[in-house]
Amino acid sequence: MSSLELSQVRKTFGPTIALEQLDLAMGEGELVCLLGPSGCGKTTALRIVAGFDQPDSGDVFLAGNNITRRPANKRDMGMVFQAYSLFPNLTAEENVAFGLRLRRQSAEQRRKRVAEMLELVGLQAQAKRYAQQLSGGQQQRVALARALAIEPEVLLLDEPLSALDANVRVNLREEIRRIQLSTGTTTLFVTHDQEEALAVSDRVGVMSNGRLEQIGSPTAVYQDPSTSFVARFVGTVNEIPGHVTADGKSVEVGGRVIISATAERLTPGSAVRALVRPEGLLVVPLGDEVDGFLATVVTAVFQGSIVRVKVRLDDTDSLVNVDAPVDSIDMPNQGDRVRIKVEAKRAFIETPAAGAEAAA
Amino acid sequence: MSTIHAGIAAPRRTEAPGRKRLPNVGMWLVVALCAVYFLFPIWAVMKFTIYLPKQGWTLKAYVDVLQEQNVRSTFWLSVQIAFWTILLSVALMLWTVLWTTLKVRRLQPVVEFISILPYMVPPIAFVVGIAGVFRPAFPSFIANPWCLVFFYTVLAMPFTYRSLDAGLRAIDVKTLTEASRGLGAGWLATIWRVVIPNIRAALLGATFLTVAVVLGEYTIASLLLITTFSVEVAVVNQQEIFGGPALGLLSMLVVALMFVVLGILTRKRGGANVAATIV
Repeated sequence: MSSLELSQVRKTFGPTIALEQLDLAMGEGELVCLLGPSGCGKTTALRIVAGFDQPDSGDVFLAGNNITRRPANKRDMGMVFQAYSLFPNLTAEENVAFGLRLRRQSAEQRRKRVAEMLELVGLQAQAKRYAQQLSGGQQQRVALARALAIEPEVLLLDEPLSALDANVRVNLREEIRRIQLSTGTTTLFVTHDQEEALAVSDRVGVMSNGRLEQIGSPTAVYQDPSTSFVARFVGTVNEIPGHVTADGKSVEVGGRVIISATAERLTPGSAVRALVRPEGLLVVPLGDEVDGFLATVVTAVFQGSIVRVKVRLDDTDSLVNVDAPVDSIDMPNQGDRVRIKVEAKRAFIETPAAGAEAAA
Repeated sequence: MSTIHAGIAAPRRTEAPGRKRLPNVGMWLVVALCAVYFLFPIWAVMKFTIYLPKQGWTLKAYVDVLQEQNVRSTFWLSVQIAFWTILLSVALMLWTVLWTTLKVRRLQPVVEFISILPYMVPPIAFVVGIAGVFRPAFPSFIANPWCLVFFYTVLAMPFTYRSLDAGLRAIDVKTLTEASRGLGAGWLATIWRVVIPNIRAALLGATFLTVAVVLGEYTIASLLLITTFSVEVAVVNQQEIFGGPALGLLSMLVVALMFVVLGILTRKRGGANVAATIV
């Protein structure tokens, strides 16, 4: 039985459809990220799970029980908000003890649990400080400790890192994952940051216009996107125009290069776009090799572990990015003639209709 | 204010970096004039009440007036009316402001408009309306001094609403209430444990302004034939040449003292919203 389940959940705000028949089932101890751009409905879904908003239709189940109409304060869920949410009149330890006090735990139990939680987030030394005496990252750690102190059925994280500096963000997201794994709390994490989602999740659900476009492991979502929106939103893609081969299973570009399609059936001969990731392409010097596209280097940017080479393909006159490991390539210069090989085994093929849908 | 000041000061520094800044004579002149305008009458009343003809410097006027039974009993009545007015107006307005802030934001302008209505209606029109409606229908209600609690709650509404609204705007009340409810607190526990402690300055502001309104209100009480403290001050004023001004000065000092206490209480924590609260 799943720990948390959303079934056919629909929510509108006036004429705007925030959620369109959302189905989501989460297993015990699983961390699922809802990923999507602003306004895609991910936060609405989280707020419905928390009980702060009511769905127009559909149900929310917690351990098999329908909790759709249960008030927020009776759901036993811990939540960390995007905005800093520590109670300003209380110290860090009093904040963590807040939920325990409501549960009428004894002073001794509270003291023990608060100490445990603050140790878990590494803030024992700051226990007596008020929110305004803590940094943003520390405030979110205390908020996490406060949410976990009540031993919630589900932990809800509403973009908890988006107000923080980049390096604090990376550290804290790793810490959230470590803590989540150690406590085994089922967690629903909402974010618009794909890197964050891919780094911490067991499964990533990509949302667009109130719909769950795809849900799967981070590698599946990244390597095997099921829609062009997912392919474009998660990571970077190159769009290479071509035509479907006679067998309907591959795409040829410039009459030579074949890319296998992830989709099952394509109309032979139809004009399509192959969406290929930068690391799925390879820059090779011109030589005897005949396979691949001929191209001219536009820019080459050193990015630490990789070099991002932007080239213009001769056949399609389109610009594509290629990420090459820094050790595998001599830094090319602008105007160099190179050959681009497709390393990706398969690519998502966007048909004109799907493209129009994605654009809409 | 500080933004405007910085905006003016910055170009001056860039134009003449070597020149010393002259003290702002105009500003100090205005402050001095205001001080004279406000403090001179107070000083005059004080001098009048503590320097009596043929007796010289004495506090006799104050001692005498404070010993009068009517002064004491009406003061105590006004304090009690103020207490219940505060409770009723804060209870009503806190719910209203929270409800409009969290649930129906589109109603905020409507509530704001309603809250300033008591400002727009002159007290004399208000009391004539009250008397016209209540005297025939509920004569015993209108004759009871406690009826003033309900009317003063209406009078205090502009101050209470504005104070609480400013206080709630100074904190992220939506996130804080959701955090509290998410941790298991019901609405009452959330208001008691989270909202009220974090708008302490605003609540104190609302409270003291309400006390000032109740202690100073004359028209309604007088026309409803209820002798409150302010009505008694007026009576004493007509009967005792030194006692009247002495009592007036004392009541003003009580209110002034309350605002000093407000300043001290709110300086420690959450001082940021004091200004917003009092304005």
